[in-house]
Amino acid sequence: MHANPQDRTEAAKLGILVLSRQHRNDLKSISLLAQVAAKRGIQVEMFLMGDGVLHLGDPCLERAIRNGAKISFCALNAMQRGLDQDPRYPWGAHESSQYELACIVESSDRFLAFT
Amino acid sequence: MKTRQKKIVVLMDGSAFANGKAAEAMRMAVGLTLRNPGVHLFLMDGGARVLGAREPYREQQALFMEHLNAFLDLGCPLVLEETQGGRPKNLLEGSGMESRSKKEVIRDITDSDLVILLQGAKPKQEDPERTPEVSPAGEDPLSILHIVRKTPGGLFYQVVRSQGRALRLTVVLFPGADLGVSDLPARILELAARKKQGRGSGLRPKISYSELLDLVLQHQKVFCW
Repeated sequence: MHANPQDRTEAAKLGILVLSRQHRNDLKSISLLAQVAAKRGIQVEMFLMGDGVLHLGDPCLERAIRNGAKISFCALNAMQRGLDQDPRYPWGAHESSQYELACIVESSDRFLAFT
Repeated sequence: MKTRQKKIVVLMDGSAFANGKAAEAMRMAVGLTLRNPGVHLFLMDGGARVLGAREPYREQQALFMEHLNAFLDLGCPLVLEETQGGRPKNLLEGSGMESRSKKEVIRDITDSDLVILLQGAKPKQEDPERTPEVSPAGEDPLSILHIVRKTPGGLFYQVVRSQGRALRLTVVLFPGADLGVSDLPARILELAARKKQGRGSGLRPKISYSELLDLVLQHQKVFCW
């Protein structure tokens, strides 16, 4: 995709992968980027997997959700880590799978992988 | 509407085991093939550290090998970076894996639509060999954005140096990240921790999150380190 830098309203989709537990500041930065993109009308889909699911419920991600970002996560990884036992599960995020991650990758105009 | 499938590279080195990501990353690579047969797996350093993992990574390695075997059964390409140490004996006999030089690996990374990097952040001495260059671009040079969360490993510098002469490169450092060198052939910017805090020393201007988003959309490819 050759994005037109002059047209900020061009329809676009931003995919973000978080595959591991991130340092606090990095998670903040990733979430802020997602928030900014969502506020600008860009479709944002973030996918958490591995230890990345441990960020579910983080206030940074909850703010991103409130601003319009969609957050999905690998349900298997969440169950392996006992997160489904928490009454707050899934914290406004969507149970998902590796297949849906593959769909996000294919449909995104830009995909950022934070491993 | 997108009709061309993306060329996707999942690249990992031995540090993927040390930080517990290898098996999950391999499972992810298999999952990506559900929508795209063009997923390539690259193992650096000859794959020796990844495929020959010892305690305390045995359990993780068993899971990794399970997913790797599924990946290979699907006919997906596995590429090992050539090293002088030779490939891991017997582990991949008959798998159809290929060996490629670092120059070729960097070219493949640059040509890919998406690269998912699992690489150690610990800085290491760059290879003494001359950094190979990507072939010069045509009239419309490719633009690549590198996002750096922490001090990157040696491969980052090799990739940027080899890309820099032919392509338009921008490097954005997350708050707290730094580079071990200052002479990379790229525009280097720093993401402001909060709202833009004004220009820095002149060598590394600070940008806002909105400006980072602009860069993500403006560059044709984005690598996250």
